[in-house]
Amino acid sequence: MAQCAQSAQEFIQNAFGPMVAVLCSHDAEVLCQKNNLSFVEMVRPFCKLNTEAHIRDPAGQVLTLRSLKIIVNEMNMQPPSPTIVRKMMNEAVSNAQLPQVAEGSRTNVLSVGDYDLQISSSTPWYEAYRELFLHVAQVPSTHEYLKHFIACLLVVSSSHADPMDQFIKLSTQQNQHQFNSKTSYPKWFNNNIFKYYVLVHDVAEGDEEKADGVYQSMKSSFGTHACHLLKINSRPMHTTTEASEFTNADQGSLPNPWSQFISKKIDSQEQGEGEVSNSVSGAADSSPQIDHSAFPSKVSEADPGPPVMNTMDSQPLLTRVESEPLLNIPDRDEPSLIRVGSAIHMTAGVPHISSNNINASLPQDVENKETLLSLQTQHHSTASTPTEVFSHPLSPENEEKEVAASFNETTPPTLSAERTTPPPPPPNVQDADVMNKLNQRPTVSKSSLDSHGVCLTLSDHDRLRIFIHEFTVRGLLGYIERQIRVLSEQLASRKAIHRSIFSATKKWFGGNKPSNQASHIQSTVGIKYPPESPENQMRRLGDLSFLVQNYELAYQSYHSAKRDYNNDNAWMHYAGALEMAAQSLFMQGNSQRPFPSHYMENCITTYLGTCKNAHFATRATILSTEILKAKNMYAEAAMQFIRMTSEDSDLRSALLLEQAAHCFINMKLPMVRKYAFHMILAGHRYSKSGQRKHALRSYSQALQVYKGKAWTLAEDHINFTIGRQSFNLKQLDNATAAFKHLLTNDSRQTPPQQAAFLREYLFVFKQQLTQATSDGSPLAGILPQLPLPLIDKPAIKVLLGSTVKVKLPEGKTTANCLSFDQVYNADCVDRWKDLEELAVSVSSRQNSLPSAFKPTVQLFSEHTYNDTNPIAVVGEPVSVEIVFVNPLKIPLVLTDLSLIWKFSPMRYLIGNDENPEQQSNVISNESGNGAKMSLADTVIDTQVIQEFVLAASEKKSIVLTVTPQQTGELHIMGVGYSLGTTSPPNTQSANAENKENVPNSPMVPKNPLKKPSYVSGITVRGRQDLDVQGPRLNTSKNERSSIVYGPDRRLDPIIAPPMPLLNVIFSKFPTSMLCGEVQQTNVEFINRGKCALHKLFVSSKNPEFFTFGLMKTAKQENQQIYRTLRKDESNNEHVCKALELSFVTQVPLPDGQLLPDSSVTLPMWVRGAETAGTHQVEMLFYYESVEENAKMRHRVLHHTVTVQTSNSICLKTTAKRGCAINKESKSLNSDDSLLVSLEIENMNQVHDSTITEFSIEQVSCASKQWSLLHLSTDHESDIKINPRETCFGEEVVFTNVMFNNSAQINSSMTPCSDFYFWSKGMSPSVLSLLLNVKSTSSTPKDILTPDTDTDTVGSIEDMKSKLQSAVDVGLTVIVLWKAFVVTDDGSCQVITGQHHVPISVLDQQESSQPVSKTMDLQPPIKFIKQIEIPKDDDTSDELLSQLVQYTMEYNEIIQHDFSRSRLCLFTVQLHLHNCSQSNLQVIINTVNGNLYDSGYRAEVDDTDPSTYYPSNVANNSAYYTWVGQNSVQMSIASSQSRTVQLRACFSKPGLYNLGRISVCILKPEFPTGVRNKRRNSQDSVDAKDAMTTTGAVQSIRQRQSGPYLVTVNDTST
Amino acid sequence: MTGNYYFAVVGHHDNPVFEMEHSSLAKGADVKKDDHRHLNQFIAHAALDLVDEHMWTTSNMYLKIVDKFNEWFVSAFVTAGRMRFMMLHDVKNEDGIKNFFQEIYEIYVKHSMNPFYEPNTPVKSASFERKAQFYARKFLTS
Repeated sequence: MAQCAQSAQEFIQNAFGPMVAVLCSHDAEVLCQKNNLSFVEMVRPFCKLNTEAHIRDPAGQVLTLRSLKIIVNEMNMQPPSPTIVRKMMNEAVSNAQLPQVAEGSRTNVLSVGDYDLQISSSTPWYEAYRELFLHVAQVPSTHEYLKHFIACLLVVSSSHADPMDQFIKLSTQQNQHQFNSKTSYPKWFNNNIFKYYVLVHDVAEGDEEKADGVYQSMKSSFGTHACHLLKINSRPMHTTTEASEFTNADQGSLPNPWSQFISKKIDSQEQGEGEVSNSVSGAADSSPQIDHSAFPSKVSEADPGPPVMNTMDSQPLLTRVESEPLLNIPDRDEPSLIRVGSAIHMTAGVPHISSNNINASLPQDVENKETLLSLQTQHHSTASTPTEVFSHPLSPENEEKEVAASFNETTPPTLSAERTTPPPPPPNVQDADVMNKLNQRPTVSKSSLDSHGVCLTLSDHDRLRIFIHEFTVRGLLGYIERQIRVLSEQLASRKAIHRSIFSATKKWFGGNKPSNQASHIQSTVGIKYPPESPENQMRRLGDLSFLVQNYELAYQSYHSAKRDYNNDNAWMHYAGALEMAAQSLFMQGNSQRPFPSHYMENCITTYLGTCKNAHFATRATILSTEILKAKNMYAEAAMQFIRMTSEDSDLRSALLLEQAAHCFINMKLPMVRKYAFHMILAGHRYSKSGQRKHALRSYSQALQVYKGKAWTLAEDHINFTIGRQSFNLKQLDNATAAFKHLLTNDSRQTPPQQAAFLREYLFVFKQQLTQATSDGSPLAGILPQLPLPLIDKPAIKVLLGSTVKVKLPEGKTTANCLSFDQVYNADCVDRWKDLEELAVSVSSRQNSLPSAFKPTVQLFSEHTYNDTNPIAVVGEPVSVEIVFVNPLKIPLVLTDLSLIWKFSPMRYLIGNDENPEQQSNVISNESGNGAKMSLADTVIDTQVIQEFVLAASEKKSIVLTVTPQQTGELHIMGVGYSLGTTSPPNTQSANAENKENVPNSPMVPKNPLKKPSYVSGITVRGRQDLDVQGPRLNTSKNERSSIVYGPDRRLDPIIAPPMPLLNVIFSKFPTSMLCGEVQQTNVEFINRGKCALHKLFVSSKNPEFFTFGLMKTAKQENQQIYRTLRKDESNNEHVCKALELSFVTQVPLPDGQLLPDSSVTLPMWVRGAETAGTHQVEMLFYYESVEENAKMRHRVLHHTVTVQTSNSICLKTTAKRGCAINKESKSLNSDDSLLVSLEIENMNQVHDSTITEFSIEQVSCASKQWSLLHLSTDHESDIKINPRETCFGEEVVFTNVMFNNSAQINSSMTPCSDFYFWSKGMSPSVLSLLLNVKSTSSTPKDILTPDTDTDTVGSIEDMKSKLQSAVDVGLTVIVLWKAFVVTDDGSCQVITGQHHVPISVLDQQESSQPVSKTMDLQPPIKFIKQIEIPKDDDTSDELLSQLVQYTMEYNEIIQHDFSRSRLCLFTVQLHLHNCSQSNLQVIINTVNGNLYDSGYRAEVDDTDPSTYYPSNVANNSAYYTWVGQNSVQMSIASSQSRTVQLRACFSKPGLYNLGRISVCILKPEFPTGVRNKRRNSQDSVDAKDAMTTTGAVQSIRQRQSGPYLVTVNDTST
Repeated sequence: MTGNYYFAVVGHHDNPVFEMEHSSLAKGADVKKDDHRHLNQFIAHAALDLVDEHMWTTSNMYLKIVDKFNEWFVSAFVTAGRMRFMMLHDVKNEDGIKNFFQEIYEIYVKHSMNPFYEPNTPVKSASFERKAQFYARKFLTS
């Protein structure tokens, strides 16, 4: 709480004092006016007794009075009307503000739990209110005598012609007033009040002897104790005006005792004004500030009537003279007020308000305090008579220049000319000394000194003091003492009767509970006791003794009075007695009786409930809470405060609520949240009563508690109120900040509420900006930061290059897949990076990448590594995508969006990479300055987006672009825009106005309103920064343990010198194809850049998809995809150079380079992929500038093609060894011919959307060795494939077989052969190899190449290859086809295409349709390491069983007469041919041929049609046997044939199979060393190996090529 | 019995973790309620002081009515983990509120078991809200 300046005791004592009326004759008043004071005012500062006084109580005990204060008032004064009182209170409260909180001593920081609160330690406004309430607003009531005049001072001047007569006149006047007047005020204590006669004598002018004479006669007629001669005005008037210098010097140390009692209002208003100016120019707090800040508390301290008392108490060591200055708080007075007839004169410490002043100020809006002030000062000035000594309203310690200036302005010039005293000089050294002496009490205000009491010397002051002392001690106290005695005697005599009769009977017969008479309450509230009734006398006694500090007696009196009142149901009296009883008990200060807090409770409830007298209830509360606080009963105090809050007075409620809040925080366990809540309530009431500053302060106090606790609605309310109040107080910064909170917080308000908030915010913000511009503050040029909408900063993307799509004619597409909607895909990025690396390494003709290589990135987002600056090219746009998030439930309108950037131009030269030449200073478009902006526009084109609407709660992105025109470093700093709301259409006219007022930057387009529907009523131009935080670093330990973020430079591109810019346009690029379909498209390469380009490469991971062909074929007629041969040159065989498939293809450019703005068109063939489905082909175009560029070596262009392929045909081929016997040589020449069977299947499915028919155009064969002949339809008679050895190194022979007799297609020409070569390259080995590895021979041999290269292994390989050659084919069948496609809509199309089937091995079916892979089942996870059995790398049995080909030559039909001979002998020639290129050992075995046990038998499936194993025949073949040599072993050299004669013997006619023979070879010997080594290396012993090692030699049975049937006929019959 | 209720779960830093308003009146009264939605928060927040005081005086979790402001009563419930359930109500319904608190305590404990829920942060679970509303209807409307 609010620590009050006074203790509770002091406060209560000061609240009451003996009231003395003053009746002054006119001449005396005139005399006093020389000092610019009325008599009452003159006396008032001395009304507090500094010395002790003594009084006897009825029992004769002497009591000591300390610091007795008497209250002197004009007799004729009327209490102010309630409206004026209210006005005064309002002003008193609003003028009492907390000093600036600059010094730590003023605020104490309180930590409770989680809360750290800054709480002001004092509440001067409450004290001001309290003083005003107790001393001004207090109206004397009939139920108590505390405010009744107890004495009257009759004042006459010695200059009066007949003072004695005047005294008598005054006395009768008083009597008339008391007894005959109809007015209810003033009230008198009793019938014979104490009268005191004062003769005022002007020492300077008056006749001293006359005065003395009059005084003597006064003494004789009124008594010595009842009269006084007061000599004042020792200093002549003229000297004061002449020698103000002198007075200053002379009385420099003299404070002005009147300052604080007169016209406080102006004073404190200027104080408030000073504060405002302080807050404006905060730096003005210099040395006088100490006084200044101490000011309000001092005012309130000395404010209550008795002036000196507490200062004396607190500083008893000071001498009297020194203590005087303590009173003199520097002040600025308006002397004129006192004279103005209509001026209302108040009691001590009350602002004097002239009626015209009020009239003037009443119509004023309270908001305009400044104007009010100036008006008031003007009123005062004009009201003052010209002869008046004009005082400067400002005291030296409040010399705010601005205030002074403003005052001077408002003062009419005539008046300032008439000033008799110059403005006071600043406090000099003397002042400083005094200041130190007085413990930094306020310094003397000389100007104030001049204004009041100019004619009074120090001795005059002493005389005044003596006068009061005399009056009090000699006169008043004696009178009171007598009164008390009389009253107590009266009461004592009556008490007996009273008690015995009334109370006793009441006790016995009536209920003793006052509540019993509750029904009579209404009737008895207004009970009137006769003035001299015993109850009232008792009360009088109590009041009197209370006033003279006889609290014991007072308590007894109150206590008994209370009982009587209670019995009589005189509730008002009862409550008053209770109140005073409690207070006197408290003031006794003894601890015997506990403080009866229930008295006070009771009193307040009675006042409030029964009597409905809020005024007295308030007084009781104020007093009671002070006591409770003194007794540390804060909770009860808070309750009392809260009870007194009601609807009738907002100001009072506000003040009391605030006090309650302070009580809560001062409790032993501080109740912070209660505090905050009641501060809010208080603030609310303050704002209702127009106390804006206090409302703002209260809410700000409370905000400390609510801030950041997620009580969003409450916080919104607080922020909103703070914003409003700050705005009203012209604290626009605070207002904007508060409103900003409303918008940025996670709002739970309704949309209309949010819209209102936003409007309010924009309005205030705009006001702030206009103010800033008008003030010319440095803020004016800078765009303010806007809080809305939110920007998703990590999601900012930067794209280098244009995003604008060029409109192209139908069927054309550009190769540019750059766009912001690209989803980041790490794989994708890696793929592009690989492609780029390939292109770079090919272009640089090095196997390794250049060290400085960095992949080109064009789209920077949160996923890319942004630790280096992006490199953009001059003249090409840099686009930024910003994601705006609207957190509100209302739409937001952003207009005139543009990027804000900073640019430092540089010139990049080759070889000067490190320190590029700095050209000039940084250019920016931040400021709205016109000249700068035009410069900025020449450097960089900034795109402006007119309007961008964010719907409620929407997240939307916008792309903003800048196009740099110079090289240098660009920093994109933020986005500037005008924020507005949607507005109803009827405010459109206002819109236009507002729009113009917006501090536009020149970027804002000139055309005013395009769509008025969306342009809002209020727009504010502002900006938001785009500062992107980099990724959190995690590499070093330091980075891991602390939070370190890396840089993010995506918004700081380097603008590089010009580069070529390639544009690729595909025309008629197919999007859906059949598998293997071939189409031709044209590609146009355009250079849109400023330099020529060369070294154009295309890099792709799917090079088989497209081909550019050769330059010479470019000029081809477009109709036919394949070139046909003319009939005359239709040679079946064509030889051409083999091409290599490579991932990087150079695009043949006409002159090797492409000039700027030129284009070249090339044909391109595309072939559908082998498998159906969607295929994405990524193509990367790589190119370099012809000129050297310091910042950029090359550029790339990405293009992704998506092609849908559908099934077409499937080819299956098998190559078999032809087994014709050469008739001439009578031997096998099986290695010279192959039988190729081709099976073609239409894969077109029923459910496919197209119906496709295929016809085969031509089948070509491409091989190094083979050429193809047609078997079925060829006109040549020979049904065989001619052997032909064609070994032309790397050249390939194409042989064609046509199926229709139209023109033969040249399969060795561009598209066809290219795709053939590409298809070869598709073998997985090539794909797996790095590109720069030479991969020429893609024969199956290489496939099997193991990764060892030792010599022995090499020999194994050699051996293997020799064996392998037995089955190698190395031939590719190319099928060119034509398809007739009927699509869904019925249109027909003819499509051509080609398929390739490579045949590598004999007897193996190959399919063009890749076998659909079955899902690879993950092998079960093994926890124990299993020794892997390496696959035996021996040549397979499959291969070994085909090494020797054999056939039998015999007569198929044998005629034999079994009657002649029982046995038929028969000779068979067995031809054997070694197909391999190594020597072989062959074993021919005729015994147990069919039972021959070999591994092969088990492996060969019986159902295999290729092996004819006559197992069922075996049972019946007992009639046939081989005779003669039944086992032959021989060796056959490579590629040699041998013939063996075998003899068979038949015993019966029949059909026999001669295949019961086994031809085996001994397994070729591998070099043993390696073998053993291998054996040893692998520990596992598998069965097969065991067999080979134990059994001497493994023999492998050769495959039989067919059944050898022989028919044996019996010719016997 | 008709009445307006405002329920809040308050975390350790005096931050509301969960808030719910319940009115047994028809929906028509919503418009009027809008004006003093913030007042509910103020009252509940201010009553925390008294809750903190009361909770040491009893071993019960349910503290009954701890505070009054104008027509509002504030009942409170303090969980073992010192989460404070505050209930503003303008009619007396001691049993209903007690039961309501118990059920909410139940579901709150369950919710706080969720490893993804960080204590003292706003409860954003839809099912929690649904259940709370269900219990409000069950115990506070009767």
